[in-house]
Amino acid sequence: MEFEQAELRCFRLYSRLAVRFVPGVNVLTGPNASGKSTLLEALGVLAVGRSFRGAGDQEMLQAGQTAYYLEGRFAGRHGSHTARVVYSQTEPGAAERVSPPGEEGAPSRKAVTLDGNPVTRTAEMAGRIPLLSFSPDDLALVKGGPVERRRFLDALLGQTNPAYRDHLSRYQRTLAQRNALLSDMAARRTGAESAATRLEPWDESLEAESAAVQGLRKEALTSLSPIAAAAFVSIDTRVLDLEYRPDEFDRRRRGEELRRGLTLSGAHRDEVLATVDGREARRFASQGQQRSVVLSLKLAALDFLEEKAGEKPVLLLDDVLSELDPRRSASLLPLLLRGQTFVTTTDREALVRALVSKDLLEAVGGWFSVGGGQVNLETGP
Amino acid sequence: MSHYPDALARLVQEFMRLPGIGPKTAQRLAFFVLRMEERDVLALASALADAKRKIQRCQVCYNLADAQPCRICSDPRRDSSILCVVEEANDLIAMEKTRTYAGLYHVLEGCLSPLEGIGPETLRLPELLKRVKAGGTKEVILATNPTVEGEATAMYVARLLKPLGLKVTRIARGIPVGGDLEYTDEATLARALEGRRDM
Repeated sequence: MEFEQAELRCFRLYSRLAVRFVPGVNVLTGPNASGKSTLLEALGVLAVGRSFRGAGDQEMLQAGQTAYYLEGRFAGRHGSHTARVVYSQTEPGAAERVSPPGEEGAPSRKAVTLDGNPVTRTAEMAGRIPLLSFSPDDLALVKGGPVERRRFLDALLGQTNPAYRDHLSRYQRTLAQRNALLSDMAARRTGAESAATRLEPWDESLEAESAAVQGLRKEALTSLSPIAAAAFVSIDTRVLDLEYRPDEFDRRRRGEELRRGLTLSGAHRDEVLATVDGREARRFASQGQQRSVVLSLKLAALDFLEEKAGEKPVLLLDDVLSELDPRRSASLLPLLLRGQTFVTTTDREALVRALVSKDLLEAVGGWFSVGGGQVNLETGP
Repeated sequence: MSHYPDALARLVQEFMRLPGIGPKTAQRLAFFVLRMEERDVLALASALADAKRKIQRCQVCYNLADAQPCRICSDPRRDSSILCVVEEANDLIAMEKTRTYAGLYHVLEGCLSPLEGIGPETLRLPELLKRVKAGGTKEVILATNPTVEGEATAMYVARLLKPLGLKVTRIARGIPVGGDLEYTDEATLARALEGRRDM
């Protein structure tokens, strides 16, 4: 899958930008805060419907604007497509303009279309344009808590499996309902028998959805871990092991749940344990090793996406190569640069050196300079 | 509102109470009413008042009705041994439009949703139990929505009715009739696949 061109309006620092990309590697160079990451962010929003920087739509508006507009044309196995994302902030009276007459509830503030057809859930879009982003913040994948690793699996599975999206959203909805019920019953000190009657219908669907989510997570991890381990060995010569630890929903914990007013087991408490040479990476690995673990996971995810989508995903490398030491980054380049890739850097010379050392300079199709709300294609490095 | 004459301001305010109607739509509606023929305005006003005054919940099935019991409950041609349980009156209307269901209904007036503080005591469940216990019912069809809340409600009702030893069924979910597999949304298709049956 390749982005051919993109148009951004009122998106962060870009008032209006239209840019054509090239197949292969697109290098974006510019000083800090010049708009490199923002361009990558826009591509991410077009492909998977959300910001890889974790920003809300509101944050992505240009200062003083009430709406942003993104359009991207991309080519894949099945020809060319146009994705469009329009977000408009709600202001007094805006509700009436956006929502169809007679419709109740909140106005639709974000309109996503693919080739002109509305996409009701942005998650649906995620399956159409395989894309993977990688930024320094992804270090949280190893350093952060279990929630970060679940989020990684959820995003990957959500992109490749519509049934997973459905199971996960039903699981989360059921969990919210069950927690509300537990917390209400904890406050009222509801008796065990009455509590059981009330909880059972929610338990049944929580158990089923939890098992469905966990089954698919397990399957994903089974195909991710050998690839990640192989990648890690080539970077770090050590043994990376990824162990999936599902927390199966257990009805026997009901007594404690009723005291605490909270669901204490289930897919929302799953963990993926990463170990390097048998020691937990989160606590014992060096900063450099932790970066290599993240990179290995991303490489595995890239393979996973490619296999499921049947075509090479778009890869966004946001300021990643500068984070790795030269030896590590050079050894990775051949593994990373396979499909269309967007690379941002503040130090073009260092990138050129790394590419030359691996005979990869030819892979770069376009050198862009970024700044002042503009992106310009240059003739060479 | 000070720039409107009083009577007009009041009308705009009243329209704004309706769901999905903001100040601009309310103003447009109000101006439209002013342009309408007087008899049409009176017809609208009396239709509103009439509907409010005459439509009540049927005391048997809790459908919206202008008679007690409602026309469905008192229709001798309908099969009183089958009860179809739905969340709301509009679901009942949808079922009726199929013209294939000839049993009776029971409207729960909602579905279980602890997040909104809706528990079993808020729904018409004691009334359902009483109806079924009174005898004559052979089958209860659970036709709540396929949402998380609708499923939980169906499960709750099923457990409630099981000890009474009657047949309890759940409507199937899957691909819409006349729908093309190609254009069916992926989640629906995945669910339909999970719910496949032997042939």
